[in-house]
Amino acid sequence: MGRGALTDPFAEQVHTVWRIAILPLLSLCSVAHAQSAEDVTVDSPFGVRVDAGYMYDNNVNRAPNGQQRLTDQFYSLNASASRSLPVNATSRVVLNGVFGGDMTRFFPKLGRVFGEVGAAFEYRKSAEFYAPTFSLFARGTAEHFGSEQRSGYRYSVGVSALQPITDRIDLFGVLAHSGRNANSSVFDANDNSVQLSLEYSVPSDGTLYLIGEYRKGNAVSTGPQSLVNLDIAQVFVADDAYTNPQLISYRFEAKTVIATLGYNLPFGSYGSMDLSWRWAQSTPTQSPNFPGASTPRYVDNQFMVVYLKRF
Amino acid sequence: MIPRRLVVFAGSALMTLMLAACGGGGSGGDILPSQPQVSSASGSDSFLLFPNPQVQPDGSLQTNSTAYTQAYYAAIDPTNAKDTLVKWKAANGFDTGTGTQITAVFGDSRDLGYGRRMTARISPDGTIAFLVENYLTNPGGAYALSQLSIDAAVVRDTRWLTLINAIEFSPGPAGGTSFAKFFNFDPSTGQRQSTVDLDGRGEKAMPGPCITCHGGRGDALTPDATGKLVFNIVQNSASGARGDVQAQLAPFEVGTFKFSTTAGFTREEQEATLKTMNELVLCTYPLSPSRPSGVSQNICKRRNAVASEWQGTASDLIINAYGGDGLPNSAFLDTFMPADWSSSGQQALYQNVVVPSCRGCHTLRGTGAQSDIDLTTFAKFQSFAKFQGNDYPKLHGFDDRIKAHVIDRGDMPLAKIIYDAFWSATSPGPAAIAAFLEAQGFTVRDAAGAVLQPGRPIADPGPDRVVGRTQGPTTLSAVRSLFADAYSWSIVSGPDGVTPPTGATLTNPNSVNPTFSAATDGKYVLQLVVSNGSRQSDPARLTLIVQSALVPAATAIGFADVTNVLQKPPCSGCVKCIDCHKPNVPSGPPVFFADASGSLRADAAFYAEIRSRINFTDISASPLLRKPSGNHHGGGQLGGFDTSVLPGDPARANYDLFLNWILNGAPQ
Repeated sequence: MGRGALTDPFAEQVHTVWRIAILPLLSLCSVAHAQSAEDVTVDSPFGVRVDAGYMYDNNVNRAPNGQQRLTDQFYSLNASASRSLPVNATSRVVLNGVFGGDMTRFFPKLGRVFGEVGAAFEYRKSAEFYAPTFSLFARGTAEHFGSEQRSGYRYSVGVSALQPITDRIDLFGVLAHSGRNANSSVFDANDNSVQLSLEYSVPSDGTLYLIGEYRKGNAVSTGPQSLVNLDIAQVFVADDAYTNPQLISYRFEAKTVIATLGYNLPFGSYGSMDLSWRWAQSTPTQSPNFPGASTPRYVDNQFMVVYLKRF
Repeated sequence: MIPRRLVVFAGSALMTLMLAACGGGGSGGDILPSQPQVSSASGSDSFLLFPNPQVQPDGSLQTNSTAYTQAYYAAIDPTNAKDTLVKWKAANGFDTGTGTQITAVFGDSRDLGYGRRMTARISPDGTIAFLVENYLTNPGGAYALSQLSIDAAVVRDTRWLTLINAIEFSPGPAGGTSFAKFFNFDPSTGQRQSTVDLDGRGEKAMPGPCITCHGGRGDALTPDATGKLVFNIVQNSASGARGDVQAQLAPFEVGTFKFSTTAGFTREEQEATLKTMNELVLCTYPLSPSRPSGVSQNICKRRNAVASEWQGTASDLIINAYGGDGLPNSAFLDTFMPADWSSSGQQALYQNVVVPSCRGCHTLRGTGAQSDIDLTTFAKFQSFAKFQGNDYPKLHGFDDRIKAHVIDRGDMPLAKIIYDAFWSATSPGPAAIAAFLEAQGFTVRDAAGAVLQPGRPIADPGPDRVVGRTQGPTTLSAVRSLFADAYSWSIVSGPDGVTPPTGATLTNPNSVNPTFSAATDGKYVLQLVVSNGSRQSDPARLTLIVQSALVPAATAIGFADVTNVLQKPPCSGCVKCIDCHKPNVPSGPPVFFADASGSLRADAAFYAEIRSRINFTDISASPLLRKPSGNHHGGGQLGGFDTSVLPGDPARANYDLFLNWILNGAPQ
């Protein structure tokens, strides 16, 4: 199974290509869910994958300080299917679809069901081991939350490149633009992002990965009305997901840094267990309009366990 | 294969997008931070406008016009030396380290709904100035004070700095006695603004929205010798300066304020500052011989009041709230209850109506000659609610002003927040005022017993009058009806006792301006019912006394006919109007009809000043009619102005003359 040994230039990418799907979903305003889209299912017997996950989020409302932070736990169940359609000897189209949903423990209106379709055009010049893989991808997601305000559509388009460094280390980069159109314009978020991931296949056959992302665009936070919140807000709405009726959700322009550290452990036949910790920090680009005001920072940590099974 | 698979996936994609979500595009609850507070129309929606706004022949309101603002600033700042905030602050010595300068931050929950950062100073020359930064942080919310507005005032969050108002108590451009001047500056540019929107109900011309509730007069502009429209000289003012509209600084009613919990900005921490501010306010009040000074002469020496000007009535509240003369108490405590209100057993009416809804503005009104409007006694309050009865002869001293303003017209309370608070479901005000008015004989409840509220159609057929039968048909007018868009006139009775009266006709009876003709002289009673959609007014009656011919004819009455009344005794030995309305009369009125020699004025401003005393929005409320009829008039009822008798009666001949002149447009 040494890399580059196959004539198919896309062989042996089963542990890396799905990362392209994770990264856009690390949104500060979305309920994170595990892998979707282009996935390991490309290489599974029937092209179908099911995953079930659990996530603990220590700042589900993306509040700027500890007192305002709310925590929640998410349970997710997703099913996806992918098809690889060869175009010629060096390129292919990968089509995929995902259906799934999340349930929450404390704030049920943050739960959702969603459907997603995506397509990627991949190009690899040769099957030579160090040949990079380039991809153009587009993805659309329709989602229905318990929160009416959050329900709507998302999309993401971008380019990616996969570069094997050694036979155990891959480097993967993505440039993407993402957008969202929700019932409340507060959740109409757009951003541009650059992502870089490093993946290391450890000798025990697991995969350790580290993902870094820088994102510039809209972010959404939920908290009480305050001068700072309103000063940086582009638009706000009385939130419909949390139990405190005085909370508002507000959209602001921000720079966001996201880091993910994870380990993917093969688990049975066509299965794996994925453990990850994600840290994100958003910093508004606009400051409050009064002297002495400090610019808030929004920090979130997510801890995830996902079991994936390919069929 | 590829095309087929692509089609399958494309179809799946479409299905997914259609089924899994319910769309996007923004919800009705989204609020832009730039969105103003929601301030909806209520009552007559004429907040902070003078009840007599000086309607011009073209229908415009002169006290809400650009000309009014230009004339005001031309009067108080003819060289534009204070047309920017920077220049105004410099002129008043702000931040120079001289004098005394203090700042307080509070929320104005009762009057305007702003978080206010108020900086006050008294300069070594005795000039007193207040600069107010107004913060409004309640985007998309209801028009009211929010805690965030106070927070914004505390930290000076410029995003929510909505208005910068300033009041300066200083001599006029030509020197002399100090008086209050009002400014409004653009928070962004610092330029002086000619309009201000204090309550979300639209821009209004300066200084109108300020002086309406600061005791100011709403006189019309008058032409100077060159014909240029200028502010008139209020004849009983101490300054004698144009632009001195007799407006005053209002007491800081600390008990009505909201405060921040931020250290340094709590009520306790600012109590001393607010007391100093109240002392500075006291410094601006003229001192009546019957009142204590209240304020230490280390701070200022109050000037003695001119006998005919406002007598510093509001000082009673401030002095009482700090424990009496010398202001011994450190904290403001409003337990003020004028003795007459208490001894009259009307404490509840005072607390439930006067204090929250009337006192703030009315305590700054009135003159030494006539002070009923300051409402400092129950008798004064009652004098604005005298029911006349339904038939002639009516009672003397008819006065329906409280009912008209509060129950019918909806132009009182004058400020929107106060108005809305008065009519809120939990307010004791409506029940209290209704009980009071009912006790005076007025009907103020509907069939179900609910207190009538402004906004319902009110029919106004105009005042009862005498008309000349042979001088052409009489044009009637329902234009002053309120909240109405449909009109129905009818003739109820005539002199022959037949209904409809023989020979009496009403053309276009469903119009605003029907015409009435009668074949015979006598008393005719007409009725007007107006409606707005399904809402119909109570019928209002109009009595017309038809005489063969009026002398002079109604359409021929000119200003000379009116001034002729002013300068002639109405009866042998009777006092003429110009006996009092002239210079150098102690406790004299604010309007002069005579010059210093005692002769009828002949200057260009005279006609405008007389016309100024006509309220074309509510003709029977015109001071030109009400004062000589004995309403709140230092001279009492004058001969020829007895409104208790039928029109055409010689006892009200002068009233009829004035009225017909007014109904004809008050031509010069």
